[in-house]
Amino acid sequence: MWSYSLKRAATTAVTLLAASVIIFAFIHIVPGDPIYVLLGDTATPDQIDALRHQLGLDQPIVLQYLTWIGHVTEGNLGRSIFFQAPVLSVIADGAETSALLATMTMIWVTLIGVPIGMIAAVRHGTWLDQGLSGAAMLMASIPTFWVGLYLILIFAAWLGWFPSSGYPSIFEGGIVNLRYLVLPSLALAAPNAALILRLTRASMLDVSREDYVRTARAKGIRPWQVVTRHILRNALLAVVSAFGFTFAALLSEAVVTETVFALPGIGRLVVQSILRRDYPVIQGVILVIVVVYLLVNLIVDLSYRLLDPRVELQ
Amino acid sequence: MLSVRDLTVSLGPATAPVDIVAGVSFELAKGEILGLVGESGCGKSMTSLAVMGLLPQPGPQIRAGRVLLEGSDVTQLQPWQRVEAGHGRMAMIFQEPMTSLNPVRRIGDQIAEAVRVHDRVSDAPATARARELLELVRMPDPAMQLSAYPHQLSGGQRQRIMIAIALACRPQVLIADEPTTALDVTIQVQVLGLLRELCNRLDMAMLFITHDMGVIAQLADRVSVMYAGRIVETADVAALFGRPRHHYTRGLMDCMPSRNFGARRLPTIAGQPPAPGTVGAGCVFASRCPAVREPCRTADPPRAEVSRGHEVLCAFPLDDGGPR
Repeated sequence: MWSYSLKRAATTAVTLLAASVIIFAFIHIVPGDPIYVLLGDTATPDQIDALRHQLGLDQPIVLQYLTWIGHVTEGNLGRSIFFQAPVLSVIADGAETSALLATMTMIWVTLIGVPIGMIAAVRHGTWLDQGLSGAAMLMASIPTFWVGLYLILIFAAWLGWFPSSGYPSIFEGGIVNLRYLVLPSLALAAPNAALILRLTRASMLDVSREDYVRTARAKGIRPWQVVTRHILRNALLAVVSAFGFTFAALLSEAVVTETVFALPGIGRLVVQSILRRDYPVIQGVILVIVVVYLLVNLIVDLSYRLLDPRVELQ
Repeated sequence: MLSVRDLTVSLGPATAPVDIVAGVSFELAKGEILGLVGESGCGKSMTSLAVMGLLPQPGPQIRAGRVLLEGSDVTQLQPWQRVEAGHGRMAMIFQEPMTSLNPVRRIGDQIAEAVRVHDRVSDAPATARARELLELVRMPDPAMQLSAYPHQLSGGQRQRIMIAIALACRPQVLIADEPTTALDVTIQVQVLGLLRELCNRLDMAMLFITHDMGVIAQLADRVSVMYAGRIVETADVAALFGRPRHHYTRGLMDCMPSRNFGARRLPTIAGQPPAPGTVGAGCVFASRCPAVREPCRTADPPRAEVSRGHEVLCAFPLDDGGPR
């Protein structure tokens, strides 16, 4: 287990290094310049050169990369050109919103996707199954922003149950502020829960045709015990790996959701930083996202070992 | 003990059913081993699944006939329904030991689960009983094996586990669907020996399904030969092997390598069995029968008791007057 974790950590480091090169290269290939954003159209060439030199943007790109990566290994992601503050603190400001949003979303995805998928599988072929599967197909096809707008319309504007936008920190307003995240997390969960639902259903139907399920039935245990003790756990093996992919999809969909709900999260930060050509922030945020994504997948792989005794971690 | 009467299992819609098991009847007495033999696709596995109440859903349906266990009608009842109703006890082991155990649960759990249902006991006594059952099926080191996972065991060991699970149901009737087909020959002998011994010791009847005439000769008390969804001949083992009366049985025996020692080429039965749904009037074996006569093609053959306990489904059985 430990040697496996070490090996995984090593490959993770290599992946991170490769990711850092790609992030850095792509951002600098994109046309545009933070200098113009900062100084506006009226700047003189002297001012521009001075600022460019001050920010280190006049140096060769390879040198810029090495300087950046050197600082990163020391835990210093640089300073935001726009905010004039350390990138780490800029990210930290958005991290609370995004982390809570992602957590709530994954909770919805699990609570909606797995049990309803299970019901659809147990009742497969019936109108209930067709209704649920059809609804899931619909949810998977509707864009997140559309779902978000309708959730705002119904639950915020008409019913007034939840706030429509923004998010004041729970550290200031207490745990009740989580209500600000209910609608955005539901919007974000809808397509992902639909995918998990369909996957759970398909996987359970596959497993229910296995010989060992017939053995379980032959024992004389009740049908629901056959489902919970024999079909579900084997079916979840396939579903668990999908959680890793779902999480990746979440990161990109969060950009849209945070915009629709005006949430001060990482997603919105990255979009605004791209528009401002705030290189250090973009690099920092994407690097953090890559780290989180790799961690989530590591957790998924490790959880396999708990679910399936045949898996040897090497 | 177990009585199956005119069992018919069909595929397809009720308006146009295709019979894959057509009017199968047999009796299984207490402690008796009945072999059900036939080639692949003849309906022997479907018969066993239908009797056990384990036909896959959606799929084939029991269209007619009855299954009586200890006198109570258990037709269409799934195993859990039989347990609920407190009917006689029937258990089953399957052909594929490699895939018949749940890969993510421990052996002990899988046996104890069956014990809990049938003995209505809690976890601790169920585990103790699971250990006893492992000893009964002669698993080496039973205490250790309780916490093993299926992938850590060999095919022969897994089949022993399957037998232990079946025995946890304290069955009066054990259905064994080709339990040794997937095993090495040496392991096969051990498992057959074990099954035979368990039947004697526990006074358990067994319906043993196989395509292997050799296995039947070693193991069974009586044999039913199945062809195209029908039982064509039933007799005591000695009578059937000594004096087969159905032309199909005769053909099967001629194909046995042990009876043709030194032959360069084994005799075969010409042709193919009819596909389900293509069976019309007359004898199902008519198209392949070496002794076919004109009435065979148009009239259904009678089921005749040619001697005591020896039934044959043929209008002109072998050895019936005059030399063959």
